[in-house]
Amino acid sequence: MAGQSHIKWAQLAAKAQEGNKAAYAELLRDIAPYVKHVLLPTLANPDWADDITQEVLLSVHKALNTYSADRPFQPWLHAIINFRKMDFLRAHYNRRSDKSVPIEKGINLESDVTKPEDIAELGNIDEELAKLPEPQRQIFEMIKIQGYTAQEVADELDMSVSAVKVSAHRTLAKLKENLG
Amino acid sequence: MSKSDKHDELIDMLCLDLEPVKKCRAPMHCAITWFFSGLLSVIILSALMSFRHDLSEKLMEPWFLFEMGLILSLSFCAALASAHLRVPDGDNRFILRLTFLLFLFVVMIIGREMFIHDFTLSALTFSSCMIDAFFTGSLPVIFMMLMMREQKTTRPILCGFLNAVAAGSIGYLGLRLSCGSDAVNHVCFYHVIPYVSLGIIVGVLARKLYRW
Repeated sequence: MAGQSHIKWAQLAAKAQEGNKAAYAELLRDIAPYVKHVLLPTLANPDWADDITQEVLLSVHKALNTYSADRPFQPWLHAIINFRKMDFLRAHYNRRSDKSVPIEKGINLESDVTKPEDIAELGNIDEELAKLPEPQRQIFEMIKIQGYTAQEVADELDMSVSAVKVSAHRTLAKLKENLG
Repeated sequence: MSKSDKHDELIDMLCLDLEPVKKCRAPMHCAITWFFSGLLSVIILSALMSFRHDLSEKLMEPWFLFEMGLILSLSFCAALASAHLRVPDGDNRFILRLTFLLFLFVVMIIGREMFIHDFTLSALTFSSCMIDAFFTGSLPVIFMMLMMREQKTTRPILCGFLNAVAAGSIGYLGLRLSCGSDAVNHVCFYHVIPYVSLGIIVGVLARKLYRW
């Protein structure tokens, strides 16, 4: 049964590469519970599985061009799952260690302050940001500049977490493209 | 909103974003293209910097030919392994093992030469080879970046290391064709260390450089 589903996924992925949205939707809907099922036994906190599953779905979308129908689908998917899981855990534990910085170490370090010579460059980013539609700009600023989590932004703007993540991802891609 | 609803919403958005994709080229195709463009660029650059005066005699020496052959093999294998690693599941163990064996062999030969010729770490003084190392290495590195531009590697550090080995080896070859000195001290200090430094920098920045 498992072998059959992997053959089916390989066929759906090949169709998705040609731009078939129905096949792509079926593929993503099929693999989402599988990804979560693979992740759950390996994580200390089961709540993380949903976040990582979303990251995996986004990564599958980004890396769709790298799948070759000559190769089995499962190793390709598992490579992405492991990579995103490690990425998530590394970021999570790094954030946790950041929180333990002693208060006497001080804030307002010189490196935290924007230098006058960098202002022109920041101006360009501001100009590009100003061209974006209001909700997209607001989401991007809250996540990437003010440091809110996707969950906090979603709560604030009454949106879903996945919609917030997709919006931030698209804005970043657009800025990269426009700023070279 | 339930968790499965969140997944559904994300999936709907990703489906809306879907466009026909251009598939990645085969690893062998990429590696061969990179290798020959890199080789051609270092030969042209060496010619522009002027070939070493004794090149025709050196090309008759079996040891020099062996060194060039070994370096070219290492560069090609590293490029092929890099090309395989561009995709998430592109882990070709045979090519990786071969590359590491060749790399180990090269390191052992360099170590042997350093031991026999009593290598000492002299003070760093300016040598034209430092600038030449930059020139001969820059084009292979740029070509490598072009080859890797749409990479989706899941092993960024290994990929960065292999990229540096591939580009560094071919850059080293360019220096051997243009610099007339065969002194072990000079070769190790000015021909090898610049590329080792490149490897260290790429290794440290790998996660950022190969982020996707």
